[in-house]
Amino acid sequence: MQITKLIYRSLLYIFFLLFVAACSGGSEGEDDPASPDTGEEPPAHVDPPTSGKASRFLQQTTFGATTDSINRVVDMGYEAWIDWQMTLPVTKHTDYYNQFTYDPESTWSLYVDAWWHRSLKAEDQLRQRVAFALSEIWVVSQYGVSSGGIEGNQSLSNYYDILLQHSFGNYRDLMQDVTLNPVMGEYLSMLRNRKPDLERNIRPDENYARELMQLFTVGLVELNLDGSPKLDAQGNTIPTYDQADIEGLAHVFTGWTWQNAERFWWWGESRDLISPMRVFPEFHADGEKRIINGGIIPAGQTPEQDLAQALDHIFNHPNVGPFVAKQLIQKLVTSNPSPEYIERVATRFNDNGSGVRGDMKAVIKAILLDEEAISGVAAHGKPFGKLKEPILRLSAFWRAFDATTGNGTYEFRWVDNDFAQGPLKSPSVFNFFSPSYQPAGALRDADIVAPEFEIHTEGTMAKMTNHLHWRSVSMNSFERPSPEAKDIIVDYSVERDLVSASDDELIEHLNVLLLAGTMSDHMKTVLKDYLTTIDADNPERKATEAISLVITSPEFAVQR
Amino acid sequence: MKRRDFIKLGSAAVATSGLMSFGQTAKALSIPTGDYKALVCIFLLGGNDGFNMIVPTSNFDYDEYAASRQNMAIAKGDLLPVSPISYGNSSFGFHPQLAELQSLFTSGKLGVMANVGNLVEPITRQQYLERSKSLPDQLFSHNDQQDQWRYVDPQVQKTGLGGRVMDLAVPNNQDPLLTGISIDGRTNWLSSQLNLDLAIGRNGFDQYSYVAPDKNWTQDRRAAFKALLDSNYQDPFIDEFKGLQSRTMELVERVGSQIDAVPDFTTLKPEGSLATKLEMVAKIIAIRAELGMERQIFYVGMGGYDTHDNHISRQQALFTELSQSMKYFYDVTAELGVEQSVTSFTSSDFGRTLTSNGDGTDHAWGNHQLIMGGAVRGGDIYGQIPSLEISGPDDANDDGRIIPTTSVEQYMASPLRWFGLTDNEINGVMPNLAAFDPNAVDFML
Repeated sequence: MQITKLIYRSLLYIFFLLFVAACSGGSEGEDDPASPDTGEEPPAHVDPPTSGKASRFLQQTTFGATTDSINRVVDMGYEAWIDWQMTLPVTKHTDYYNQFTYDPESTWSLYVDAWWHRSLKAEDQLRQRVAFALSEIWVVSQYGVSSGGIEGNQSLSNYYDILLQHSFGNYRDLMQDVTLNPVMGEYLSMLRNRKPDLERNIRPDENYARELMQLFTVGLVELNLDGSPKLDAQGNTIPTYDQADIEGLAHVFTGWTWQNAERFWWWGESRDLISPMRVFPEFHADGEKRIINGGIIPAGQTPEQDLAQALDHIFNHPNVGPFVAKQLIQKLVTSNPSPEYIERVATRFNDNGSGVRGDMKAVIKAILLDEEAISGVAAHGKPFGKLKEPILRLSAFWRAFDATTGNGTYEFRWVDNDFAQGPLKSPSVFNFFSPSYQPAGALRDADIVAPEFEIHTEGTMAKMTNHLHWRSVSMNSFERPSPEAKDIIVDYSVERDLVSASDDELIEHLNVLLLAGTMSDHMKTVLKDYLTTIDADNPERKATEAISLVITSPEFAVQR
Repeated sequence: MKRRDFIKLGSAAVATSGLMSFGQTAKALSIPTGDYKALVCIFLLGGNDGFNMIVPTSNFDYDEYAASRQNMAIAKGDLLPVSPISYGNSSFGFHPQLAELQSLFTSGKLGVMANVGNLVEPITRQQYLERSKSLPDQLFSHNDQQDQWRYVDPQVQKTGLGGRVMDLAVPNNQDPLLTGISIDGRTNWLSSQLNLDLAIGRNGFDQYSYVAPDKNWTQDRRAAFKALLDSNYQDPFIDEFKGLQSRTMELVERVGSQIDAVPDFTTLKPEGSLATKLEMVAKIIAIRAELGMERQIFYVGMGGYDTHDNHISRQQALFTELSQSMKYFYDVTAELGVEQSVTSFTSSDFGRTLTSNGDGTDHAWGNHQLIMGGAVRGGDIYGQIPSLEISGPDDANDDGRIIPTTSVEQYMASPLRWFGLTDNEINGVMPNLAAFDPNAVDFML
């Protein structure tokens, strides 16, 4: 029996690989909500996913599941789907400006149009989703930079393209390109940071040096490989750096300004907000610098050498692996990963298996294919899953019901007014929410972090809910058969046809598409009872009401 | 059952009647009843440059300031002169954009708390350089120093000072849930182990228009929507979301329309979001009697103070808004007849370096703060004005990061005593006050 099972599994795995190799895209899969739990499971990543499991996986890896993408994951399996995604070319946000026309008189937050278009429509969904996670770690904000005009918007899209490019690249290259990017340069004031002038009490600006270490790479205290803080003999945490280290690194980051600057104190009108910053060596502090972990940057080097050595030194700090691993896991998969999960991912960060450190492809695969991610059970007994970010609930709704517009653009720029967040719109470099936020009450009492709850307040809940209600109840093709060109309209015709046959079929369809097959019995009953109050000869209304109820429900707000 | 769980269950009346059975009650009732008082924390996010907010103008002191600050210094002739009561012959000036605050100071409604900051114990420059005394964790880091200003508990760092005071104030209020309120965003200053704090929008509550209680066409949808909020999902995230949605809906429908019904104030509202946030505080204060409130604690934040760049011009814009907004709020409380009952005070991550990067300033430590209200002994500077010399007796090192001469605990003790807390309770909510002289600062009437 055991041997038979083993052979069967091996055969299954071989078939699976063959199938993956031959697979050419989405076939019509069946909705198969729950896999029967039959005790011992094979290694998770070779277990062909059901529709529900595929839908769940797409919550972690995309801006929302669609019927087609669910079928594709069912067909390919998780790993092959990731491999396929990693082969796709980058759908750049900067290319958007050539593809669509826009009103040059109305460019405030135009870059958000590009963001919505890519997030909703790009085929390279996994890359776009990882870049979104990175944009909430390597934070810049339109509210803290020159974001006006076409150039300002394009500079934000270009910043995002850098995140996209390195989402499947190497973390060290990401560090390099962001450090020299003029948007980050302006945001954290490394741009035109100058060497000291002691006569005039001038010291280098410490802003970028501090936040690069605190927020983007190593964090405040020394970490074990599993993300837990190291403790000294007295049981105290150990700071990763001190004020002198920050001052040393601040000296490294001196002398840089816009690529097209004619001189260091140049204030020209047409500043290059795209190209990497250039350096004026005479404004660079050329003395020896002491940096984190005893690193010494020798005197007399070029500014480029200083920068490369300092970034290498930080990149090789043992904290970077667990620090980055934990934050990416939290943004993609689960708020409270077990130490073992963090350690497995950090180990891949440190070495991708071929001796390469910082390989993002290996890190992303380690995060998404980890047994904890697949099983949804955390080794340390804390609850698995997370509250979805508010705009990811909207994007999931739009993708699930194929939102379209007359002119092909998705113009919704005031995102943060209703959703308390928006792409590159953070109120500070600390992002919209802290990775360690714990809501007062049951979660904090149980020492559970739930970062996204920090922006879910008595002041924002009604705004978010109203917006989702408006989008789902009022902005669909039944309600708006002749919309304006800019209206973002969803299509419930599939759901209308299903509910014409039976309420149960619609409920099961929404269960898989929106809730990954995890809909509670309570919710099924509520939905069913509600649908019976609506005339059977009004399937459009039934579909509309069912969908709006699901996307404003507590269950839809959470991914598990 | 904790009181917090009890409050979650629903109506304020039930929660209030239930309060008597809780252990906290006897202690908490020591706050006197029969009057109204509110504390308003105005948090200047990013680290305000207090040393340009109020500047010594006596010859030697100004020269020292100007020598340290170089091109970040405000010209002596531009400063708005004030004469603090306790300073005899020493003169000071407010930043030129703080005309409204200057007038409040002169009329005795505004005081200055000099050089206050996060401390674990008193510390001198020598002790700092030798590391012979305990220091706050992660000095000069934004979020850590903000947190410490809000926790005011260097050892535990779990609940906020406002939250612990809220716990004591809850029994004075018919509606416990409206005791601690932040405008625009959750704050750990109001975080408590016992009671829930609120974070509401600067424009008040939004009605749930698609599931409204009073329209025929929404009733079936509303019933289904609410039915989904009425289940135990056995998932901590789903249950948290459900509880928050229920609580918000209940509040919106109970309190939202009362806030909307408050007539506009006649005081002219200045530009900027800080004034709008303070206006919302005033509207909630305006319905204190209808809500049965005697003690409330408010938090509003104002961002933009992390002036690494364009320090001089950004500071002008920030101070213009701050000055006009604080004066507006004082005038609105006077319009409501509660100016004696509302005390506002500023907080900020840290002060800024007296040295510069040529165009801006960096994260530092000690900082001046403002206290405003009819019950404030205004027109004076409390605490000690430090030396502003680089590498001088109050500089932590050689960058002009001034060591605080008053701790946040000492700064907060005075308004908490006014709010009605006993000395024991003040020691209880600020356990580290014992490391300092608890009576060093008293700026309340």
